[in-house]
Amino acid sequence: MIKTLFNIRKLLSELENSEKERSEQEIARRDAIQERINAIYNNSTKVFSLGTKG
Amino acid sequence: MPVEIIVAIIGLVTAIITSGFAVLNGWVQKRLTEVSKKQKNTDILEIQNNILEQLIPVLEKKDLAMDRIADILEEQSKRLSYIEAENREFSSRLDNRCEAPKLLSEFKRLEEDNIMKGVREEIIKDLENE
Repeated sequence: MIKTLFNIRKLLSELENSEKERSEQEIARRDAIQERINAIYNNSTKVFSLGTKG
Repeated sequence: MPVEIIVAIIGLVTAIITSGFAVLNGWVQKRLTEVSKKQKNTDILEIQNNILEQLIPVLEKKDLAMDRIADILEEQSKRLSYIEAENREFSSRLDNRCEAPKLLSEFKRLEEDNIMKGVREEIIKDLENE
């Protein structure tokens, strides 16, 4: 029974760690996407500023 | 040892084990709930990221097109400025040329005035002499 308890504890820890890792990966992915979106936005404002120049 | 005491001890031990398991169960449930909540948030984030990753290449292609449009607009703007400057210069030259006949006619008028003045003076002189 104690072994089962330890197993549950171990499984929980593994689950938590894998979830933490996955969450960090997704956050990193989101940051990368955000950078790409910012690059697109900055470039677009260049075109719009050209349009409003005249 | 009396049987009652043994039964009581067994009951006590059972109660302790049961409450221990209840506490443990609560602890496991709490951690599982936390993990489940985190998993749900990560799932939502993953879906958002997946959708955005599908959309971004399209936006980037559009962005390239926008770059080209920007270049074309810039080129057109430069050309327009150049044409505008040329027009101004041409217009000024044309104005100068148009002024020339006016000036000529003015000179001619002044010249004629002087001639007429001279003629008038001669007539007056002739009249006086007579």
